Amino acid sequence: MKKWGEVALGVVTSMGGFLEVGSIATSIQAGAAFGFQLAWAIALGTISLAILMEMTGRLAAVSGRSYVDLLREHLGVRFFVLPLVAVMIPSFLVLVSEIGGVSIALQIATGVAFRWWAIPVALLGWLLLWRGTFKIVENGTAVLGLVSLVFLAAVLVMKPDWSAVGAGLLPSAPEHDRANYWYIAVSILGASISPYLYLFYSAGALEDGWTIKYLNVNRITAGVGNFFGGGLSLMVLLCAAMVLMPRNIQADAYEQISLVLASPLGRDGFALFLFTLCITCFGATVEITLACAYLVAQGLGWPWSENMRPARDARFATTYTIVIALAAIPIVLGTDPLELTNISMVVSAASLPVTVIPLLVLMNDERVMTRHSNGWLGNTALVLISLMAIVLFFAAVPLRWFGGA
Amino acid sequence: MSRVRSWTATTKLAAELRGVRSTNAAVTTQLLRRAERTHAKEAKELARLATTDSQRVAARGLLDSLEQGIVRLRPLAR
Amino acid sequence: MNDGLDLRHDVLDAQLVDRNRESIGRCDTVLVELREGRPPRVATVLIGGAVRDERIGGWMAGLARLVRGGRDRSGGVSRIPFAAMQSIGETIQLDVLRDELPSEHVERWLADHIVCRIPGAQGKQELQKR
Repeated sequence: MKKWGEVALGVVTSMGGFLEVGSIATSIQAGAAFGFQLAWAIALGTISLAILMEMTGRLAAVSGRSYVDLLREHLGVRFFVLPLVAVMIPSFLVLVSEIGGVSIALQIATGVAFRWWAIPVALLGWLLLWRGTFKIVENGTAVLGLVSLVFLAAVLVMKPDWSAVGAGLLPSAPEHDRANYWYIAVSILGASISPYLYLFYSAGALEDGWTIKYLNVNRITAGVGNFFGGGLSLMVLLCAAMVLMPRNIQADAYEQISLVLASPLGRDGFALFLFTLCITCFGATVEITLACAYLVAQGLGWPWSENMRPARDARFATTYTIVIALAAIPIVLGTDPLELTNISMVVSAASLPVTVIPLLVLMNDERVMTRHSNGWLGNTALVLISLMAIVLFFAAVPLRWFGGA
Repeated sequence: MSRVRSWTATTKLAAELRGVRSTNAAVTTQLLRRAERTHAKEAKELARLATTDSQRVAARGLLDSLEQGIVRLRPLAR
Repeated sequence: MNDGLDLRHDVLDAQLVDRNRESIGRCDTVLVELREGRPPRVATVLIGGAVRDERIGGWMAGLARLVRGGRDRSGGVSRIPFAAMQSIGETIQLDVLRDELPSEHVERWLADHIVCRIPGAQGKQELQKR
């Protein structure tokens, strides 16, 4: 009985936590520029993420160690620096973008410039980490994140042509602006499959005390949770496709994006959009900060846990404090949040091979996985995802150059 | 050029929504500022890039539409 | 339990935990006692020290030196007799307490001088035991 409660919570967490500044910004830009045509990118990103999360979750539940921990052990400290840096850089950039997301939402709501909000937001996030436990962080962001269902409401009000949506779920080539099309596709993949997401999930499995008995919980949480989360991302794309594209409005600024829900749902839609942007980005801020701290602490072998009081894991606590403080700085200095979001998605996409390919080794290591190592289906999926990751590594930056607005 | 069209449409949508109070004054002001900045920036760009007379006329036309949009939006912001 | 213990695989660089299953770092050096006419025996496990600097190498060791304030490494080495091993598996559990180990000096320094100066460091809103 308790397990089903955990499953429900896990699903809600994945749903409420799926939307954040990256998925919102990329889905909106996709919908505004290409209508339903890029829906397949969201589907592909979501499925890949679900697979990666299930695997890193299974890894943690079976071995009792997090993915980062095992990675470090297999590579040795000297070579661990590569994945450490390769994950830290995009994660940090995304973190700054999330703080930017909250800040711009508050600017749109109050008129006070976004630069002034960065420090209060970072401070509040830090306080939550300092005094809160993992359950509080997890559940809080999950439940509050459900406001993002407003995008579903807007889509239902606007009654899209569902067969056209279905067509968009199949990959197709663009008729115009080819470079821009593929650039946005890559950004969507980078937003959906951010490394911090499955690293955080792996650490979270340990924080929640998952064991071999939780393998089904893990499967359902990773699968169903991401299904609903990806569905929400799709709703965001549909809203942009139905509000912005017909008017030829490109999404160049978050202020334009905020109009997307005001049109179908009026003042309530506008307010809920701002609330959604605020909450989901804030939740992501806290999550990514934790993920960066997990990366360092688990990699270097320090004691760590969001459930421990800071006095008992001083290095871990100091790490997340420094990370969130540094992340506020670019926003305070006035970096454009949307521009930064777009850049961070590309960097995220390019960094994937470093964390995806080692999973091929770890998930088949029987010493670690015992009876639960990958079957042929899992390995096939993982190989395909690895190939996609390698393509993204080579294509991401050039596409930004040629296809970016 | 597509940016100018995009922002012209944005001012139109923003004016519509503000008219029925679907958005707040803050975002309307912010959109107005961005539209003005885009107009200034694109005016320079188009002046630089438009080489033939027909191109210049087309550019002028687009910029004028944007300006009209800005003028319509201005009283609604604040 | 010492049969088939592959020192390089199972002990060196293995994650070590203390009596309360809290992480105390990784095994950097294994001191082996050579005995006449009998197989060598693992005597001591070391955490920290010059060997760690060598193993992480290059700029990271320099950074570690910087963090230490240029002080001598010898103070930060924990020498734990292998007899203190309680269990060995994914991690090696040793019968010591984290707070008493010299190699935890950075952790203790941070805890005493910085973390504990900030209010709220001693408790959490909802304390959970794992």
